[in-house]
Amino acid sequence: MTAHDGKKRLMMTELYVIGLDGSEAAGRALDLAARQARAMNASLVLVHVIEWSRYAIMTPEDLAIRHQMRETEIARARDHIMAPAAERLEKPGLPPLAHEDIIRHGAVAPVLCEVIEEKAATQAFIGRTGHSKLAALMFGSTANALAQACPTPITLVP
Amino acid sequence: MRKFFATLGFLALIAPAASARSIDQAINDAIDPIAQKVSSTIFYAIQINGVAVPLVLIWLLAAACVFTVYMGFINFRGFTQALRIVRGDYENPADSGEVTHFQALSAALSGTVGLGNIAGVAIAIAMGGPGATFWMILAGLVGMSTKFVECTLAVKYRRINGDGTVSGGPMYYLSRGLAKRGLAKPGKALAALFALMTIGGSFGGGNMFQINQAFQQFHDMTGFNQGWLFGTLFAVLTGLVIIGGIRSIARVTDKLVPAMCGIYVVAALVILGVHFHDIPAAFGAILHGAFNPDAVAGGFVGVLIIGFRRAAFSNEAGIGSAPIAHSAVRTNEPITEGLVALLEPFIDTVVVCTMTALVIVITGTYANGSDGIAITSSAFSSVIGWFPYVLLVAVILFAFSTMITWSYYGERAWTYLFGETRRTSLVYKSLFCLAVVLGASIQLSAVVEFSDAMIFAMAFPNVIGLYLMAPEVKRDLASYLARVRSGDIQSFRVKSS
Repeated sequence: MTAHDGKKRLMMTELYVIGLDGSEAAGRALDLAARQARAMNASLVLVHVIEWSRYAIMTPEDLAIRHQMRETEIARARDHIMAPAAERLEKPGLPPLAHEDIIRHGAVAPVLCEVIEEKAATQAFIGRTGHSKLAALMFGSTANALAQACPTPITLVP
Repeated sequence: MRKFFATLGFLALIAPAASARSIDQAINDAIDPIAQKVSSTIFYAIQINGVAVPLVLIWLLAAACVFTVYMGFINFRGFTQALRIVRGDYENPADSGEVTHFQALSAALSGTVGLGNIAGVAIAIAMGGPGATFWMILAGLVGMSTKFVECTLAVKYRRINGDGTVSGGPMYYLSRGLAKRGLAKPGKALAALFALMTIGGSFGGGNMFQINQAFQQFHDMTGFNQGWLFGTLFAVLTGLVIIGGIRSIARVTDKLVPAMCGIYVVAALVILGVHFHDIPAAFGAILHGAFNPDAVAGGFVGVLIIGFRRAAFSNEAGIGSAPIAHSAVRTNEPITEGLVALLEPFIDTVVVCTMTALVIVITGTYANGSDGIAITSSAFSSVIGWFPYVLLVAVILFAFSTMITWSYYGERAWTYLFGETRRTSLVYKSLFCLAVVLGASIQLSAVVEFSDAMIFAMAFPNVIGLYLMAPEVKRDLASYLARVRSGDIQSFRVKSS
């Protein structure tokens, strides 16, 4: 990449996608993204993915209440993940940071990549560890998956 | 709730003191006459060529053939489109988190794939010889069209409740769909009749048959002969899920069931592989037996009846149970769910039942004098010696998942009739758990007769409704297929560049 290309990239609209899962690491990722966004005049997209698979086998009773459960899950994510994140972004004495909130169902890594591509994000931020270190050890972590597959530069925040 | 568990606890305490055989015998003696009366009513038969042909079978089969022709052989025409829909090609990503077509199909399959595929097929071949397999496959193929019609209507006339939950199934398409045609009163009557029969079916084939066969396998493997105790244990487990709300048990079962299906199919393929050279002869025996049955009572028609009956019991096409599960799918096009549903009899009968039948015919165990699942067990163990243990686990899991599914169907029917309150729901669920104990205690033949009768009884009101509403399904199908061809129906499939 030439210096000229580098300058061109700086002039593009900076848009950062931050993956949130309610963990402390995700909170620190949000803080870092916010600091950089203020410096670079970037806009933010906060994303929370509710784990869900279109192939998950359910009982007929679960099917009948699924729509209701989905609404509940989205409301819970809004109250317990997005709202605290929005509060965390407000810094006294600093201009407010505009941000878009997205809550989607699916597998975490693929959905994050989808959003990154949809929004033409220039950078992504996620916490390096989620809630369960043991689960990450056994089943692989979202952070590792994204580090390999993310279509945009990604920052893993410890 | 406390009284229920106290009663069960008391029964468990007196177990060592009571004689197991006499309890089983007492329960059997009480139930048997009732079971006989019910089944002789529902299986009222007419004589054709000296063979007693149950009217209800003609009813179901005629409907399947009529719908197959009327819908232009949709069971073949719609197959690939059905696969595309299940794959998710038409599912809007904005709807992620809602019920997918795959989930609706698998939930309904969890109720249909079960003991009928393992024990029912064995019963059919023991009674009718290898030829019964041919008629079973045929019945499976035409049954696909009936499933298509009933599941389309289930989605079309479902009720989305105020809290976002979905209520659907024949009770709703019979009452609402027929009301649209100016037949509100008959529609309501049919819906009520259907609900009543569903309650019976949920106790019979959805409960007692399952636990009975599971116990038989357990008894054959372990020698444990206290059926009522086995039933009590499962009644408690079932109660924990459906009354106690410990859904995690049901979810674990539902994850294990597809795994067991996979293992079962693989094992069947292994046996067919080992007996590779006998496969043509087995097919020959099936075709010959279908048209020239030797020692079967009732001859040709007898074999046909046996094959059809087992297929209908196994894939439940026209019975009206699966529509209850399918009605919850997220879609604006009811036809899509009808198309997905036609895969069910295919998977259940044409694939799984046929595999079981081929294994039994090839190994010749149907003539060894045993009954029900014991035939299937000895067929598999002739090649894979330890497979009966796997079959035992599979049977118990299939039985349990079918019971959980049918408890839901029955509960929906019960609350449709008696009101959607927690109290009425609890009454049904308690009775359901009691039936688990009964089912493990009584003899096979009484259970089979009663189970069959109750399940088939559901077909009477259901199929009447299907006949009356088939024209609108045909119109909707034509419209849907035209819009798919013209590209109006958006495919969300991401094409790899």
